[in-house]
Amino acid sequence: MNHQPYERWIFESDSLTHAEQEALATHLATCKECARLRQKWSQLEEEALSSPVMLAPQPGFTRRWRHSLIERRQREQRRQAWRFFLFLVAATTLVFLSLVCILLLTTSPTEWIQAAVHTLATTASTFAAARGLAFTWLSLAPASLNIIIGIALGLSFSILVLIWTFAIWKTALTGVWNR
Amino acid sequence: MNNLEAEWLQQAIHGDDNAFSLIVETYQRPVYNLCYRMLGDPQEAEDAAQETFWRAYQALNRYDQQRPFATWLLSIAAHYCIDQQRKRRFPTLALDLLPEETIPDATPNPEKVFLELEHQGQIQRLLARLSPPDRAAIILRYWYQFSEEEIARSLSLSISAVKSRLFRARRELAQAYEAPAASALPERRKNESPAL
Repeated sequence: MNHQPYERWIFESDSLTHAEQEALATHLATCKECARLRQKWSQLEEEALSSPVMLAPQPGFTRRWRHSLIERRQREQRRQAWRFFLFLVAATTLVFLSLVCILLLTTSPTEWIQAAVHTLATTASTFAAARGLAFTWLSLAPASLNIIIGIALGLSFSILVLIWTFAIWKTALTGVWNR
Repeated sequence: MNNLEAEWLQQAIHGDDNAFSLIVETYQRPVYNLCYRMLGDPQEAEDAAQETFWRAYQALNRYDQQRPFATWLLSIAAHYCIDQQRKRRFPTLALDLLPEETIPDATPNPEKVFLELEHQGQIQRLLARLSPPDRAAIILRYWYQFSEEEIARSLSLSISAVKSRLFRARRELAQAYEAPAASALPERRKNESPAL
């Protein structure tokens, strides 16, 4: 037996027209299967679905939320920092690879080797000249000035290292972009 | 949403965590209930409810204020629970761990407690038979009195799809509701060994 549309109407009894309700009642009087389904549905609706119980979490849900918010935020900030660093590494690698590609396309390996040897030689000679100059200057300058310059250089270097460490620590801890 | 909640929401949108905690306090029960009805396990429901609030917290800037906040929040919870259900192969139902709040009356009445637990267990068993989207549609319809339009919007479905899902779910629930009687153990025959 075809139970449609009656089967559907059983579950939509509130929105049926008068004629549909009459047709459904006539069908239910002759169809035991639909009548049984109707009876079970009414029972279920009345017993379980008419006044459903709202369950609540264990006490302290909001407190647990606050704790989890702190943890999740820290985790998210760390993830964000990692994403930022990875982006920087990827961008640097991309730029480096692009330069290598451009060099490969525009120059030959022989020219590369020549340029590298030339740069090395120039750097070594420049370094030697700078060292000689520095020693000469240090031997001519008064000892107190040398000490002051040494302290200034050491302090500058230390401050730079501190700033760098602080930036890394801050970025790793608090992320790059705040909500 | 009343004026006070709207104010909390505005403060939360501007980064006030305490205001958002007040929102959590207000909506913890409906969100947890939805998660529990969807997942059938108190611990998973707790985790899902926490995750729902975290997702809402992160998406506050994108919240359309024309839309009721509760609908938006429950929509996040429903989507998350549907995803969780799809990820795991078998639905779980921890009846022995039903939340204490199942029993509204705190009077120690073992019989009442047992019957209520049994009743809640039966509801969960029935819900567990449905597919996650059908279950979500039924829960939103009967536990939260959502209209078909609201369900459609919450679950990102068309209204006709919601109607179809509700019909399928109701029919399955009605058919399953008779299952306990049909599948009950047959009465032991005379002289039959109880072990068998």
